[in-house]
Amino acid sequence: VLTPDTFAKLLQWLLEARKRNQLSKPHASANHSTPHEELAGLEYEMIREKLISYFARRACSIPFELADKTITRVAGRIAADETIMRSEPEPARFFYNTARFVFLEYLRERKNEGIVIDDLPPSQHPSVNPNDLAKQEEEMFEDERRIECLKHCKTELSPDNWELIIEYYRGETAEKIKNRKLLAEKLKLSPNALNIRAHRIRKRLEECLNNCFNGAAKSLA
Amino acid sequence: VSNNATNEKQIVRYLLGQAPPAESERLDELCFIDEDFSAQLQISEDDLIDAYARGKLGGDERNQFERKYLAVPYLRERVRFAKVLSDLIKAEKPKPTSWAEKFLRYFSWAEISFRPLLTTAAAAFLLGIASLSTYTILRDQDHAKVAEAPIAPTPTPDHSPVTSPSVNVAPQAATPPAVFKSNPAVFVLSAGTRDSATSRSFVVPRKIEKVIFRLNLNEVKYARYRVVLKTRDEIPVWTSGEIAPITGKLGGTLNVTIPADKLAPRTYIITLTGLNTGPIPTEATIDEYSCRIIK
Repeated sequence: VLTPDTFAKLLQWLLEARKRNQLSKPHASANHSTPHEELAGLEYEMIREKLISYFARRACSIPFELADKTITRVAGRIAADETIMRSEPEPARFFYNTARFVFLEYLRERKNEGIVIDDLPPSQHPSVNPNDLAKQEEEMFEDERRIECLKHCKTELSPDNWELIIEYYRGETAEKIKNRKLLAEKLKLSPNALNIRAHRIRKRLEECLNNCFNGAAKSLA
Repeated sequence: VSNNATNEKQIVRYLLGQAPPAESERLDELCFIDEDFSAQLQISEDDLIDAYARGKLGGDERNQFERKYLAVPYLRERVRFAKVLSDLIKAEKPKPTSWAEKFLRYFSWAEISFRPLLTTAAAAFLLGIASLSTYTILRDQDHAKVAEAPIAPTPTPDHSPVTSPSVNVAPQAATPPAVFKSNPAVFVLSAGTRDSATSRSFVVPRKIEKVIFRLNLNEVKYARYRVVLKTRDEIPVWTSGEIAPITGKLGGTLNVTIPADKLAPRTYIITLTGLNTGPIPTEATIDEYSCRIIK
């Protein structure tokens, strides 16, 4: 169980690693004036996100739970043996190694369970679900709500950021590449910096949409 | 560039689960310990999901993508977000190129010494452009009226009843397919046409992406409306969000945009509900329209 004490130790470890990283990479993204708690929080969020993506890419149906399980386990190990904080200078690698074990355990547990139909891709569904029609209709309705939410989220972005997203994702293949090149020139950014900026804005939109949609879904329930 | 392209291919292979196990593990680890790679991977993943959402993945890649991304609820949500974002971006009109801005930027080297002269020249130039634009807009509007006529039939006035079934066929041969792809088909429905005897038939060309039903209202009583598209057996197929009406001299109009792929060749009933958003929100079914889709 993750207690406030073990969590505080975990954050401290992340913060120390972050500081070391910043010394070796002075151009790193976080501002030097950012408070320590916030820095540690950012590092924690980043690790958690990587864990969620790792488990999702490995086709785990419960990536959030497995990410939290990994974090709890790492925090527990640090609490039990504080020397780890010194012997393991790279928390990210330590998290990755722990995540691999959590994943293997998940696979072992799954072997003893049946396969959840919802986890299968459409091409492997054994038969047509009698509720398919109702589900499709619900999905169409949900898409409408998603669009409304995204329109709301759009208003939470600055006009410049929304303009950037529009220009960045406009067009197909060659046209898209050309658009991005022009956009980078216009904003005086390197192509890579533009990609990262667009990705961050997109992520904010995605988070906002998920919050809005889940909030709306709860209020409708 | 070729190195980047190789990396990109490698990343896509990894994301689709097609990388050999050893490479897959190595990249898994890199995601955690290498910030640059992690950022590059996230960007490539955004692009991959977008490509799928826009229907640009084909064959094996598409199958592999579905097997990986549609099987996990968390990833499925990301795909749905990409679809919604892509729709919203498509709906945004491209920003018009500012000739004045280009003109001024081009001459910016002389900004101090020639500023008064440049200002006068720019003003004259802009005036010329404005006159030309006005002329072009007026001319295009005239052309557009002629071009749109077969796709968007003239609205039937509310007081003139539709007496017989009619077929609205968009002229596929006369218009290049690219126009159909980007332009929606517009169909007009008069109020109270549920009776199958007065049901209208509309042909939806294959390459059309969106269909706009222009519903005529006898009177506008509500600030917002909702539309439900149902089969003749009353099974709902599609529900709109809240739509604001456009008030006119003969009542009002409601533009309802429906993705063309939601429409199958069959008869539909369109139920119109008025939404009262006062202190006590209420809603009431106001009217029903009927039409037959031909594809």
